Amino acid sequence: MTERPTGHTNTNSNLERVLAAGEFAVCGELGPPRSADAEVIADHARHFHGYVDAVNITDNQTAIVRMSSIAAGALLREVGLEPVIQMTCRDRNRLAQQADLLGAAAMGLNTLLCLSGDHQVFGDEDTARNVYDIDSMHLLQMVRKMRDDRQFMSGTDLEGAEPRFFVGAAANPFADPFEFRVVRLAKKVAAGAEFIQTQAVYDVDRFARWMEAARDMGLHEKVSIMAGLVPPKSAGALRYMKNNVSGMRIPEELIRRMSGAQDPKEEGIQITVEIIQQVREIEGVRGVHIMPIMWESALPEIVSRAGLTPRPDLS
Amino acid sequence: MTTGELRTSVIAFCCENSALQAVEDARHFGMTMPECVQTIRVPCAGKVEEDHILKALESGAAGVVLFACHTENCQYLQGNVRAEKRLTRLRGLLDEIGYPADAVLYASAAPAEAARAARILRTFADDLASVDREEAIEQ
Amino acid sequence: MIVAERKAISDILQMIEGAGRVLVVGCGTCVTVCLAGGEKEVAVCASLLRLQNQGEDRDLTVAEATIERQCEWEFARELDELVPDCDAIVSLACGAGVQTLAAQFEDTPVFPGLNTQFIGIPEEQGVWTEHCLACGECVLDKTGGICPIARCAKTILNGPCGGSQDGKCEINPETDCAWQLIFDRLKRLGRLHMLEEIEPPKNWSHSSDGGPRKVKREDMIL
Repeated sequence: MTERPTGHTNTNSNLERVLAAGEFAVCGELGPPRSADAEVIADHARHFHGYVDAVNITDNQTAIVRMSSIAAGALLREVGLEPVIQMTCRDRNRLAQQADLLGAAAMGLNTLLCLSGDHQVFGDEDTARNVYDIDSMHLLQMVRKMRDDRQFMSGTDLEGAEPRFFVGAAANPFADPFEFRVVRLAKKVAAGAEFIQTQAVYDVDRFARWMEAARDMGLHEKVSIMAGLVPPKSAGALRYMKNNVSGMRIPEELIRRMSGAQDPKEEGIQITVEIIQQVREIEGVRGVHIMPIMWESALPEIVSRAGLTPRPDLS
Repeated sequence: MTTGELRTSVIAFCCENSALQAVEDARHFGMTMPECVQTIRVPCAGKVEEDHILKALESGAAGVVLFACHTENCQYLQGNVRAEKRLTRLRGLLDEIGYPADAVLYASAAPAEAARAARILRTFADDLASVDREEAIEQ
Repeated sequence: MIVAERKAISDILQMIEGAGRVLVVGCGTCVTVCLAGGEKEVAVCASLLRLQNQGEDRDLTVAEATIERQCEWEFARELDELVPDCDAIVSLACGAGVQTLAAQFEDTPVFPGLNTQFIGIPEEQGVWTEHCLACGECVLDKTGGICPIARCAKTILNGPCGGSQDGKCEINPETDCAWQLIFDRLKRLGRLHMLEEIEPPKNWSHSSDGGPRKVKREDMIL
């Protein structure tokens, strides 16, 4: 894939505009409600206004049933925020995925993150059959084919407007085997990823090594890499993630720092701000993706303190 | 032997390298033993399969003892270990069908431990004869 | 081999309720080797059924038979004389064996005594693991002889996913990450470059998604 000229955009995605303008991008994240309450979206969204360029909307995250990411994304758009629609390969086959991509685009959703999805054993419907018809690599290819070639995965032509998504993928610098992680990133870029959001960074050293390997392959020029962040609420939360979330690396030192803190929440915000400052120094990091799981109210403080306000208005 | 004779009996599968000698000595020396014990000589307790024990119960035995060598004394190295594991599994199977799992027992004795073998068999036979257990089978 | 496990006796008892004469049939091939449905397991199962019936009012006779392969007509026919004397058959075979008996003996109910698990290997004594999903289009040439379809929880063709850590799969710390194994194996073979290519989406029409499959050898058809 060739490097894109600065300022050029393919879609109406605000995230794409921000990145194309060379700005350091900020994404938030919102888990849709486990109900049909539309108001919940607007309620959570108030924390994000003015502090982010886009908000990821998770797709049955951790395999727990929630309002669909596309529906929740459409509701978020109504209140003036740009959703990044997450789409996994766990629950839908290529037919359903393509149908939903058309629907999402028709509703004015512009930004998409392609994922394989957490296995259903982690959720509350662990007797479900999983799909995984295609993997996240294929999903990227499929979205790009629909957008750029105006063709379905089968090769059949679309009969009208194509879905124009700014397309992203996830990468986990902390999973194994480490030496293959950047090769896999390169495959995702080759498959069509235009931006990357990583697993939560706590181990900045390892993240920096991964970025170095990505730079060695020139990937930082081909794709906008955004570092993932999960603001820690307590030492217990960190320990839980360390022990229960596969592919997470959390230095013991960080857990000690949190457990020694008088005000853990304040410390968690401070730690997050420090990590943002550290990753910002790493060449090729183009933004951050803050995932304030059940703690959206912390986001404005983090973004402000990290000096990332105001967000650019490029609409 | 008919099924009727077996009704109150205990069948003891005895390893010929250890427990068999102990049980035979216990008899020879006139130690107190349940009368109803029938011994079956086996080359190793590990040779006794689940279906052998089940067949013994089916044919009317009130209880079955799988008499092996002490830990680490098996001539075939792991025979007693396998026998004990197999018996544990068998107890699970008996549980599954609601049959009292204490009708089968894993035990060990050295050739010279006649008194120990006699005591194990006495206790087992006494337990089998207890009213509670008969009721359990009735149910 | 096809690996199976016996169903709970209570489930089998429920299936044969009302039957006075039951025939438990074993299979001498795969399920014998994986200790689920061979002659010995037939003896155990039949004994358990009889023991359970002791003290019950109903008469129950349980006969036993084990044939070489339940999934072949020639062997199934060996039961021709036994079956008319029974009210129900409990088949300790894989699903193919159960269905062969059901087709062969149309007037006798045939019940599955096993849960067929997978195509696998004995990983070590007493432990069997899944190795093949019969997807109909083998990819082992590209994956170092380790199957991502059967052994990756997400059947990912371009792994490993982000849940691979310390060689283990995120869904279970006892499960090896198939893609770590693939990576290690290709590295050993000096063929890691194979993983740089994106493996295209799978054609699942060759798998069970394409409907019940059939294999034909014209020269063998009479």
